[in-house]
Amino acid sequence: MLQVSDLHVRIGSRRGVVRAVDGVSLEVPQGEAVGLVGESGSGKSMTLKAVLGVLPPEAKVISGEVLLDGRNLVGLSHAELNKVRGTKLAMIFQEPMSALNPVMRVGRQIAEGPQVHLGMNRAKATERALDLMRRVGIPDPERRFRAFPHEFSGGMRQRVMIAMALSCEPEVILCDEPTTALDVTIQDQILRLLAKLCRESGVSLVFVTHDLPVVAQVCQRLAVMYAGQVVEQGVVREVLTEPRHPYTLGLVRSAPDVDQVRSSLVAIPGSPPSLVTPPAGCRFHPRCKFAEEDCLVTEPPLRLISPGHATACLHHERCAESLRAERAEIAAAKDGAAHTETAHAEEAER
Amino acid sequence: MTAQPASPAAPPPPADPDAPLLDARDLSVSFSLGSALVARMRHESRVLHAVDGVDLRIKRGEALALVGESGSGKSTLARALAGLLPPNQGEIRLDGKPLRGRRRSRADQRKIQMVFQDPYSSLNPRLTVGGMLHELLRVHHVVPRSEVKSYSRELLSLVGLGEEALQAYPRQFSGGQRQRVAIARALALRPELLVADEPVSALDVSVQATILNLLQDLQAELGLTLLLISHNLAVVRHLCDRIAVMYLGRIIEVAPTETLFASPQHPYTIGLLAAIPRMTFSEEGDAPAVTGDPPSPLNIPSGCRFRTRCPIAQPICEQEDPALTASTGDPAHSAACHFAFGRAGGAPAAAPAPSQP
Repeated sequence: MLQVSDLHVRIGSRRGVVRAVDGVSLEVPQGEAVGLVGESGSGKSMTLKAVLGVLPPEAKVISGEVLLDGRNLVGLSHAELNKVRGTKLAMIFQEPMSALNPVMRVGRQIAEGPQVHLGMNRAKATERALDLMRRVGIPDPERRFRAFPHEFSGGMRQRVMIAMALSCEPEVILCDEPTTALDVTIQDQILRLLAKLCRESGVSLVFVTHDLPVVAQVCQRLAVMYAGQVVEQGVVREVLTEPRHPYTLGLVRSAPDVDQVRSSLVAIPGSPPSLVTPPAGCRFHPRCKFAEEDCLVTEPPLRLISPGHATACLHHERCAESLRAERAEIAAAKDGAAHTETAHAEEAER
Repeated sequence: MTAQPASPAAPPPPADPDAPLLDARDLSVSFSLGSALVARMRHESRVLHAVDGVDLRIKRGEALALVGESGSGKSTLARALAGLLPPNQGEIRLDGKPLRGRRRSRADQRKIQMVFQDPYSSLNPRLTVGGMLHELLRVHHVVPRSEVKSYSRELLSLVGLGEEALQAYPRQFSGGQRQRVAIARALALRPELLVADEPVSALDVSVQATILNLLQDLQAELGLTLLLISHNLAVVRHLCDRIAVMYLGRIIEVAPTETLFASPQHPYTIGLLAAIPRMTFSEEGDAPAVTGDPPSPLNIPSGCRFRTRCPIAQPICEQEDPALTASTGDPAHSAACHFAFGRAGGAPAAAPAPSQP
């Protein structure tokens, strides 16, 4: 089980110190997929990089812990971290073409991990690579083993990345927008594959994305990040249908939904704050329509409001009210439409 | 046009209200690539047919969406319509008047304007917004010199930007604001058709909504005709009246938005709709909606282009290329499949037959 507690990452820049990740806590139980959602600059990718120990040189973990099976990964030496990466932690990147070695045969890249980390010999590692290629749905693995990444399509390359990530049987796979660069039908294939692997092999996933419907497809739990902090966390279904933070509510309302056509989308006003000088109190208050005076001074802690659902909003009941009002309106509109329809029908009959 | 007062108002009404604003027939765009030798060794043709014999009609005032996967030719088609790429074949008519494929006259260029995907690279970084609009308005003689300033201001307010934006450079704007500037630039010439190529896919979710709302408002206020290119079907459903689905350089299905979502006919459209990630939480199992990868546009399958991935492919699909034909019941709905609308005995559409090995 992966546990991140009170993680702080700062980045030195010319404009000052950027508080990229500011007190993030996260729990990834075994065999579950946790979505990490936020806009660009919300700190979701930084959190992932800090967990894996691949922060850029100007970024530093100031405080906090990353516990994997009780062992703190923050502050481990390069060699020690290398042992953890690969065997216990693996990563799938957004752009597989730049993450794969272009001059190495695909099969050997998948076999490299088991050879280096698990001490397998070449023949055994090859066998394992072929087996993995079959598992992730690469057709004709014996022939494809000897291909180079450029001979693969985008979707197939992402399958290679998944096979590589699985090659040393890690406990947690970190996915950084793994399907953003893919077409809809290919994205659908990869998401189903990931969900299946998660269910069958007991591996945990951390799934970073900005796409809420994608999270709904793959993840059981969800953490929403805003300005370097987790603002809402809980079971996916509950957070997406009953959001209790105005930012999550804004995200849900601003994304067009294929199944529910609204007359107009509700955008979140304003833009994300600077992380050098974040607003006092709640960081979302300048863009929040529910903001009260106490939001300007009190920094709201992430509190449980029901089992498995936490929010960092002082006035979270406002979200519930607003949702109730919206639903009542929709129901009324539907009712009205039904009434006029029956009226028309009656008229026609007469 | 110039006699009109300085407001970006709707174009004059056409003589025949039923005639399409834009009528493209048998349009093809191809690129020749690489060396002939390599192509022969690989048994692939050297010519990439990005758009392959497309017929498209856009009615005045409607919003038409062009959807499809990458490599389906949707952007190439849009560029050809806008006169940015010369077609190899076919004819484009605007209001009944043929448009040249290349070297359009300035008056014709004006009529179809584009908004591009990336607002960071599609604006000149060294020109202020005011400078950019000024240049454009002068070159195309849209308004008299004395009215350039007030017209620019009006354009900016139309897209929700303040007057101070005139003095600002693109780098001073956020992504969403840049896209507003790009839209203002396109509208400055009072185009008859606005082509928007993935206008929101480079933007954050919360910003996307503002741009989509803006396009919707502009369409309603100005009676703008819009061709929206997108891979995001949720965006399309929200904004467009009609949808054309492209696959490997062809339009394979066209229908009014709600018809397409309610009863898609082409197996690719059915798969595409099923593949959209949804906010609903139904347990659907592991079988993906469409299996396999799209074939290379250099090596297009014989017969129906989708047959290699099609769950209901039959021997006829290998031999005969199905034409895009309208449903007998609903002339607004066309599909290019042997089995669409219960044709050819109607067997497979209802009960998927096993695909050919």
